[in-house]
Amino acid sequence: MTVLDNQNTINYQSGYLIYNKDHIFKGKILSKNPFQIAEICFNTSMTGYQEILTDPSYKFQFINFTFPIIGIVGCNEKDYESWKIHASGMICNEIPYLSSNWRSEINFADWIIDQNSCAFFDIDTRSLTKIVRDLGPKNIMICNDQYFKENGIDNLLKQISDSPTLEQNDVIKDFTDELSISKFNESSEKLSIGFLNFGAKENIKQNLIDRNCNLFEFDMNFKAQEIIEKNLDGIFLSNGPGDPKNVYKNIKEELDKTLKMKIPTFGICLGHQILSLAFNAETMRMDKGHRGGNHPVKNLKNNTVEITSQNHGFVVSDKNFPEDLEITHTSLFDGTVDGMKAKNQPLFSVQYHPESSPGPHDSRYLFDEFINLINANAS
Amino acid sequence: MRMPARKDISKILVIGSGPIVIGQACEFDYSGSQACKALRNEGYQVVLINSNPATIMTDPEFADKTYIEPIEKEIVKKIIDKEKPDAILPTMGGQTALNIIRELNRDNYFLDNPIKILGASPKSIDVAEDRELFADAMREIGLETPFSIIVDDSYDLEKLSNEVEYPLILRPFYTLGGTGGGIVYNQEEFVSKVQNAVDLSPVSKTLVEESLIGWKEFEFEVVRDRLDNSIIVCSIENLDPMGVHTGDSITIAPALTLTDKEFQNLRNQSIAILRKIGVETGGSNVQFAVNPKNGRILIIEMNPRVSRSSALASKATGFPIAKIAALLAIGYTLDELENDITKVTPASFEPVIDYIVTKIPKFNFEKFQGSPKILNTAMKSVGEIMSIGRTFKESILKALYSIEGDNYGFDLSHELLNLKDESLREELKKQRPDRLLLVAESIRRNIDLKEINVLTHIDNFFLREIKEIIEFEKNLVKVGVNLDIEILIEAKKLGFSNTHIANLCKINIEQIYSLLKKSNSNTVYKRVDTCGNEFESSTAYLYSTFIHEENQYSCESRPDNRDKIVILGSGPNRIGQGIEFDYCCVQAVKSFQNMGFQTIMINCNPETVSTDYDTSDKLYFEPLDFEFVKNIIDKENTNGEVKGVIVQFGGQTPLRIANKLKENGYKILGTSFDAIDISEDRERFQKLIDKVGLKQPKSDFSLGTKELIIKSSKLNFPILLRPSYVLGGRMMEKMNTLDDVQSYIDQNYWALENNVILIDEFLKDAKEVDVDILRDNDGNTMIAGIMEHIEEAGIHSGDSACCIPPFSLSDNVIKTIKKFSISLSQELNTIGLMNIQYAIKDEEIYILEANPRASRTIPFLAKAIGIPFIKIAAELIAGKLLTSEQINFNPESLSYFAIKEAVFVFNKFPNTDVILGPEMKSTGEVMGIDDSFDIAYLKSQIAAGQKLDNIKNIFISVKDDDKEEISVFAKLLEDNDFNLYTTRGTFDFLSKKGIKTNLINKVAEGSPHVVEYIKDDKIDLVINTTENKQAIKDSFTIRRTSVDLNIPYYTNLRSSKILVKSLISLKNNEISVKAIQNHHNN
Ligand SMILES: Nc1ncnc2c1ncn2[C@@H]1O[C@H](COP(=O)(O)OP(=O)(O)O)[C@@H](O)[C@H]1O
Ligand SMILES: Nc1ncnc2c1ncn2[C@@H]1O[C@H](COP(=O)(O)OP(=O)(O)O)[C@@H](O)[C@H]1O
Ligand SMILES: [Mg+2]
Ligand SMILES: [Mg+2]
Repeated sequence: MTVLDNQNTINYQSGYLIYNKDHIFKGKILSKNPFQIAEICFNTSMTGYQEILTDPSYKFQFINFTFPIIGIVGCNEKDYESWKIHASGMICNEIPYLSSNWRSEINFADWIIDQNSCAFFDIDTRSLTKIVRDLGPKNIMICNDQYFKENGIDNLLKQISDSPTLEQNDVIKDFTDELSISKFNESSEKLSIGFLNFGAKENIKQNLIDRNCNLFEFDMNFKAQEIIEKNLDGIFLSNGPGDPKNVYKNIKEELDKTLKMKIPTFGICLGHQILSLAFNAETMRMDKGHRGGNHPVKNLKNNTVEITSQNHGFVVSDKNFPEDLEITHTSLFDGTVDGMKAKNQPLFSVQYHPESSPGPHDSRYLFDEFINLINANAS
Repeated sequence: MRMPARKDISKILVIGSGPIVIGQACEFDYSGSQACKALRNEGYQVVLINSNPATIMTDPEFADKTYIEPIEKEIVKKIIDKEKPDAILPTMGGQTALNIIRELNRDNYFLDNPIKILGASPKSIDVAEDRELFADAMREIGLETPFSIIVDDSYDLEKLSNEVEYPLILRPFYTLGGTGGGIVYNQEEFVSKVQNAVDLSPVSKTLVEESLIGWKEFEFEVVRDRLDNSIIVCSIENLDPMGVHTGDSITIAPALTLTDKEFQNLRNQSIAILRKIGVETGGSNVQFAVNPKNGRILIIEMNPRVSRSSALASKATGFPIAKIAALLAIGYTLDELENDITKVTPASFEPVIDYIVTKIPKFNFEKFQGSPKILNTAMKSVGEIMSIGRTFKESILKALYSIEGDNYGFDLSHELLNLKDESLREELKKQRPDRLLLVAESIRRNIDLKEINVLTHIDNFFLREIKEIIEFEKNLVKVGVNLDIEILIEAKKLGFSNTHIANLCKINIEQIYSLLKKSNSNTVYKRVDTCGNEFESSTAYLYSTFIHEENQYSCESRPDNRDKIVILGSGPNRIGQGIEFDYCCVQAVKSFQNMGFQTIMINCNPETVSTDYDTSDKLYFEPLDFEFVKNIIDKENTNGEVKGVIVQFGGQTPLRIANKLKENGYKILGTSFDAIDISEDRERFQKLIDKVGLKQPKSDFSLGTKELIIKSSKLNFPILLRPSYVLGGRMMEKMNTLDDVQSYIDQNYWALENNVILIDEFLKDAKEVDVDILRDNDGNTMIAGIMEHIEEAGIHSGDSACCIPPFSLSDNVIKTIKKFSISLSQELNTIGLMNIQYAIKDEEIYILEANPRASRTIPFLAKAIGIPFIKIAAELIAGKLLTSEQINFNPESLSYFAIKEAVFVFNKFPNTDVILGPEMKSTGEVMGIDDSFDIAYLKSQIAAGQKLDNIKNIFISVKDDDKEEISVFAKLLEDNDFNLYTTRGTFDFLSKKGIKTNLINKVAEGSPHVVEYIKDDKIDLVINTTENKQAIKDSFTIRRTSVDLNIPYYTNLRSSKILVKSLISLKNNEISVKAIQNHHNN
């Protein structure tokens, strides 16, 4: 961390990252709170930390950035993917104090504090990545020196093991409670899309809006009736935090009713998992998850490769994969299902993030395909 | 899952890049040899052409047929006729290879020839290379290039000056090293500056471009396959903004100061450009300028081939661009190829890195007196190093430890230390090669970063990081002997080396080691794995970093329980030490592997094959500094055993630390350190020489400059001066008078002051000979070759051409040389290789020096003769003995001639004289091989870039001593009806001999004079030898103009004579080509 005597240094404290009793890291912490518990994951993206931290899918997660310096280009109004940081905090090797980029409006460290978030740094993040890779994701604690000393390691370990897991946490509910739905505004000349927001990234909306769509936003508690009444041109299911099964059981009935209408439908990430579940596919926990901006995906239609932005810890299983669905994309890293389409209705979804932000734009064509699907259905 | 590669081709011609010159160095040996390997693994036959015998790729095993012939259109045609390849791969040999394709294409060669061109089509090459076509292409896909027009005499500059926007940058065509270039800030300056630029251009044309000086510069390395799958392998940010050539810039990977929005924009544009230009498969490099104030993006250029930066990108990421590009060229797609490093993921992904890579260029300005020490848009650096660290600070410090500069870390050289702040500010504005150190000094003097940013345009992020280092530097000086573990750990985390800390604190380095021992803080090794540790990596490509709390995962070195050999590389290329030593290291590695050792390579030069992760069993990409080497050996010794360190193959660099290695009890294999010391210690060497019964030129030495004058006056002039312990005859100069000595002192005071200066009597008109000899543990020896130099002693062995077998030495001399060489290696107890240089004057043999290590010439011998001398040397070092066959090998028995010629880069350094002397100036070498001596020489000249195809008009002006001899050859030329042009002296002399020549004026005598003749290309060849200072001054413009206009010139009598003979025999023989494998087999 930059500590230049001629600048007002920022007030970090020394602190600890507790993975388990064998793996405790001493580092520096930047946070208003004495401690913080969440599940750890790692992300290999080399750019776009602001977009990542503000992606609602990261609720109740600490993100360990494998890239060693985070914060160089600061933060700005334009690069939010939602209204705030949703991740529980971030971990990295080094944080420069001042930002350097013409788009920057606030220094990264200041932003973390303003957002009442938490940054833990000055540790060997590469070996932490290895630990997560080998021993898997789990709840960990990041706390400051004082809290560590006051409670002692045994209590802290207990505190961690007593804490609810990501699955037990109703992250989707928390998100939905905070979410403020934007007002509908009818518009005849645009395509009307029912936008089911389970933790959507701004750029997904942007990509649809750029394609002349008018979004009617709903949260998890939507009613099929409302959607059907509007006789919308298309339906979109967004990405979001947590275990897809939790979300699905909340919305099962309403969703099934909606899907029966065979309105053109597109899903991304959590949306993809939910749709798969709706067709009786199975979803499961991944050992370490996919998080980064370099993931190669094979498009089985035309045999080409897309470099994609990914962020998921759950995945649709290809074991006894439903008859009515067809796998359209697979991960070239581990062969997992990365995309599917329905055989008997205009519906498709992908596990990765075609809106990217951050990440490569290779897959933006999927939004066009959604529009084509709608137009084809109309005619 | 692998589709079979293209079946319609079976034989592929790979074109290399030829001699090492500025802008085209051994990165193309790296890419070329990777390509050859990959293609042969796929079962293709590979035919290779490359004129450079120092390369790894020209080793006979790398291709089915290896043509070490000039890379020239007609020669290439001959090879194609002979070998009938199905396809050419031109994207591995840099500009040279692309140009061959363009030239053949202009001849419509491909219309009636079915041969396929892999990678990039002639058309796409043209679009990429031609600035205007390129700009149009960019416009068509909606991308911006800088405003740019080509201005020649036809323009009305006054009028133009009203129409353009300022500032502008001028880039005159074909002026060397960017001379005449510069910035036009306003309308007032426009006319004069542009006119000047036009005048300076040989073709009277200049680019007038929107000046982007100070903009950020980025490079993207893109790889594309036949299905249009494109990936960005690496992004590179130039720390030195636009205005300094990327090859001369300090560069950082990955790009650090871009937001994702900007990065993706550049990514999209890069891919769009490849599609537009039509690079079907392979790697390309795209260069961007980005306005730091508003993010505006302009395209500078794209190279439709692998490049210097793709080599850097490969090393920076672990993604082997050239190898993959070669496989894509023969039809694979990215997802069909595996990621070499992880072995579990495909090549169709974008590498992520979790460290910071820094490249720093190496300059040799000191060798080109008279040329301004300023960087511009034309490349000037002769080599580079790369460093890897977990932070920028660690990375840049390691880079400074790797560069082998004159001073340590961020220290400033003496003469700059007492700059006034004001002049320091002035210097910052200039694009000096040492700008980074000036920045550091400015920070030391508390000059505000904002101001430094305004003066240098270096991004604030980098400036702040450097400030952190400098602040801590101060801190350490303050702390001094009171250094405690907390501060030490902070320093180590910042990236300071123990040596550096010891220097700053003025304490013993042992204290630092003992402090560290008490802590849990350690130097550990991380892997370059292309994936940020997302997957396990089975490849031991390692770099060091410092961890303040080590855990079981911190260190990924994982030493195996095996017998290990550590091979030290040769660091950055520089004049005097280059690719030839990398060839030696790589050969040695292979040899030790075959003998069952685990090989551990340590080197920091990203251009090389030795730093390819699949060359050695383990690669440590680290500075070749004792401390870093020690740490590696200690780590490797924690499991298994390091049997020894090899210092013999990396040139002078490993020898520098041999001493410390020995002192600290590390085993040096092969020749003992003592022998190395004898060869470098004047007195000890003297004794040895006497013992062997050899002569040495009369000599003396002087401690510092005080006694230099007196000591010099005691010897017979001319004399040679040089500081001891230098390579490539650095600062070695011939003195004709005492005045010369005085001005030598004045010029080099700082370098000489605390140094021993060696004084030798100069042997006039002596033949020079290089000998390479191998010796085993039992004292058996093998003479690898006796090379007779073309130029006489006095011209550095690295700069003069040399020939095997000798062409004018008497049998007796050869016999005696062998005898002396053998007894020398016996006395020194060398094990492995030794190189000896002799001068022969009137049948008398003098020794000039002996180097108990691999030499610049041994790779040449290996290629010319076809015996793997390095491999053998490695075996001897490991304890094997020479076979009787090897002992009895007689290098004179060759049935053909192989001539090694030096290649120079004077064209990049305006205003420096091209006369050669005892200080080495060449950057590269070529080989000419043929049954006829004359043709072999001719080939070497053509390969070196001389245009000798239709010589008609020859200018001759020689010093008096040479007139008698040259007259014989003038006669020959006259008889073969060449037109001779001479100036007064030579004219009269030749007239007396009845040789008719055309008299023309010396420059001093006024127009029409010789230089004008040359400029109006009425002269095809210049033969010009000169002696004393005045004559040299007067004839300077003759030589310089020849270089500038690329007209063949010869400044040495012996080479001129041989050239003349060759030209004449060319009249009645035509050049034929022959693969070295065929030469060797009979
Ligand atoms: N318009 C310009 N203004 C300022 N600097 C420039 C401009 N164009 C090129 N340069 C500088 O010159 C260098 C070399 O230019 P480039 O077109 O890449 O030639 P080369 O083919 O030698 O690489 C670039 O790396 C850049 O730093
Ligand atoms: N006494 C001498 N007389 C003439 N030429 C010499 C003499 N000593 C050295 N040279 C020339 O200087 C060159 C460099 O000298 P050398 O001792 O080989 O230095 P380096 O270590 O740089 O090779 C030699 O190749 C030779 O041509
Ligand atoms: Mg360039
Ligand atoms: Mg020498």
